[in-house]
Amino acid sequence: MNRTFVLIRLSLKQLIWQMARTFGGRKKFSSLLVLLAAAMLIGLSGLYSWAMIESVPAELNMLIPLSMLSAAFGLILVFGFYHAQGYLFDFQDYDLLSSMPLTRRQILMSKLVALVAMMLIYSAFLTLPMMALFQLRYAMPATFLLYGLIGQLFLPIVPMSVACLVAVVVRLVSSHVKHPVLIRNVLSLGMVIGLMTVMTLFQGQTGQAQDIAALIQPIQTWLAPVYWLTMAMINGNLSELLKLIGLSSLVLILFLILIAPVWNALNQKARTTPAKTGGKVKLEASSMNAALLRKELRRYFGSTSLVMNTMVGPVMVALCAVMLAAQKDLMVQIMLESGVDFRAFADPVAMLLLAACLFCEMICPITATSISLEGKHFWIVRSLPIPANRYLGAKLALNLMLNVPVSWLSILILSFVYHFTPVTTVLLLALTLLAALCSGLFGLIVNLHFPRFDYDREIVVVKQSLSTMITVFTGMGFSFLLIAGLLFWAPLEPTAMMAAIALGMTLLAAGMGFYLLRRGESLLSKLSGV
Amino acid sequence: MLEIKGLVKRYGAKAAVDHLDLTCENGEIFGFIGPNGAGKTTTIKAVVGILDFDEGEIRIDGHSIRQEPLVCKQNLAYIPDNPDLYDIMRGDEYLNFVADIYQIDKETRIKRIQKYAALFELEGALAMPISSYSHGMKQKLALISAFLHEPKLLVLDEPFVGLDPKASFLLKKLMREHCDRGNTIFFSTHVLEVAQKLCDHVGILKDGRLAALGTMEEVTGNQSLEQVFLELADHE
Repeated sequence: MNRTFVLIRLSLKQLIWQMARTFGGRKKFSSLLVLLAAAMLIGLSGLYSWAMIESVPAELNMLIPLSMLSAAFGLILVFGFYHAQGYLFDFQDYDLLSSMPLTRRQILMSKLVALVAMMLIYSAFLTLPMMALFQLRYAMPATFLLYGLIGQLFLPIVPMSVACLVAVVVRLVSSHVKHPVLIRNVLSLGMVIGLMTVMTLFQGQTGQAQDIAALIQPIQTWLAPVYWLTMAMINGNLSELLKLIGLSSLVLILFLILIAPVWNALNQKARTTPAKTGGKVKLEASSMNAALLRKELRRYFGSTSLVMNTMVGPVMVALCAVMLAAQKDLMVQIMLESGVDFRAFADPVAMLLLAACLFCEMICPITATSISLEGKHFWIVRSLPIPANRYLGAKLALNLMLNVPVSWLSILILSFVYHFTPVTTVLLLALTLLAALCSGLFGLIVNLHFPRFDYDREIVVVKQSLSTMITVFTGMGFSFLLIAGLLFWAPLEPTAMMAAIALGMTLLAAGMGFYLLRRGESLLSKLSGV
Repeated sequence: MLEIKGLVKRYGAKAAVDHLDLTCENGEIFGFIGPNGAGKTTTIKAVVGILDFDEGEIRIDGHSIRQEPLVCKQNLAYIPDNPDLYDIMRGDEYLNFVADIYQIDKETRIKRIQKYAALFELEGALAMPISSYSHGMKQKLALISAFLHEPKLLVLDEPFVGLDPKASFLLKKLMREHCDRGNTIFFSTHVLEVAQKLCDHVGILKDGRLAALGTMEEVTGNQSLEQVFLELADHE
């Protein structure tokens, strides 16, 4: 059998095994939870597609696949960048494969195929419900679904190659500096924020279009593969589909030819640390809490995938605050034009900031993966005499350290710029602290119940573990509920409502804290690591 | 010092350790040997509180590992067969971390780290990232960390794997000295010559059960440990 095929089969098997571990997990109801999450995603995507189908006039119906495929393209670009770091550089079988009679292009190809397969799953959640509903609504010819499904296989290749190229550039730059991990973290975070900003600007540009031609033009220019696939599906145009296949194949071949040598050199460099002699040995005593917190900090900033996934929240809060502070006049205008009765709120900007803080703090707590990420080092903390409350407390402290200062600084700056009332300021400070506390505690509890130690790269834990899924979806739902309660359902006036929510969250945090104090040690003792 | 009574650990329907009973007294080196998959590492992990077990009791210095894990862990040190240490730290940072957890004062830690680092010839590497260490260097660093708090019970899983001959010799010497101070060592090994020379007591585990237990003389008689082991391994 062809070696490339054998390798690709191996990579796909590894991908399926990792996913099966997520689905299977330790608990009997793990698979049920994942199925529930998948059903929820398909349901939401279907609902959104149906709403679009119902609201867009029939003569403009091509906008529906166009927008959903554009969203899938953007999603693959961002998620692809997250995964590219792990799939291209952090895989464990590099030495094994390198010792076999395989070319580096064959190895790179197998990793890329696995990556594309992973992205296909993400994009399928977005596009397949749309395609099915569109087919039902407009009774399209068979080529609509046929070309759509074939095109699906090729659509991720271009964004994936771009994401991989960016990941390679980040590694290349960071491998030449004094603090490679720090620079890699900063660059990766910058890239993710940059990609999100470009996507938002792009969305803004298309949103301001006056007619359909102006709407389609930026997509035709910048997202040509999306445009070709849409045309192929809507018009049954085979040549447009061939354009997509041709471009994707060309990009893939070029990527393999140009990047394989660099990729190989970078992988070799990533797997060796130069032994620098002559450093000074430092032997200092500190408390157990300080030692644990220092360890957590080192662990956190040593993981690019974790930093990328969890620092986006604080950075978005900071950006939101800067935008609100710098664009005061524009904000007032937007509020006046939005149609929402902001007079009901004493400090509408405070509400917007609070919404941003709550959402960003609650969707990705560091604690949701921090026990799993102990991985093969879990034996160290388990064999040392560390009380569970101190061990878990250090993880919680890190979550608070990374989230709360940014939120508090943003609140204090904006309270100065927009003259929040003292009560509002205090409540905002309390609510953001409580949000970080609640999400941190919840993340710990979930991770204790759904740990994942047998991963082959960290991104599997950070993005794909059951613990992450549960925490992200719960955090998202809870923050939406709170924000909706604050903005649209106010039996109490906003200040009293905020105080009531703060009280509720205090009780929630106390309950979860009490649970961890009581059960933390016994839950930890059930975990044996790798 | 170490008391294991009726220990049972099951993985699904299979019992990896099946009603294991053994005792290690103060000042003795106990060699735990057995073929691959016999249940040695499972037993060791249960002893040090990493792995929960289904039945039985493990007591360290009179304290139950289940009821009082922190008291037990304060009195023991453990080195796994393949010590994965924090790659994010330097050697000195890792030793400081362990010393902070055991709350070893500055003077004592400096004295002990300097002593053991000099013995294992690791002084020059302590300021280097652990990710740059070889397997043997990691093993040496783990051993230094284990001796830092002068544990009453030292539990070692295959401690000689990866060590160079000089370090192996040194480790055997340190093990004997550690026990001569009244402490206990419980270790697993496949190097039967070492076990025969070093151990006061030996236990041979097969399919999760003890196939032989006693002093070295009681177990071997006038045979070598290797002969006894092979006979037991072949005997169904």
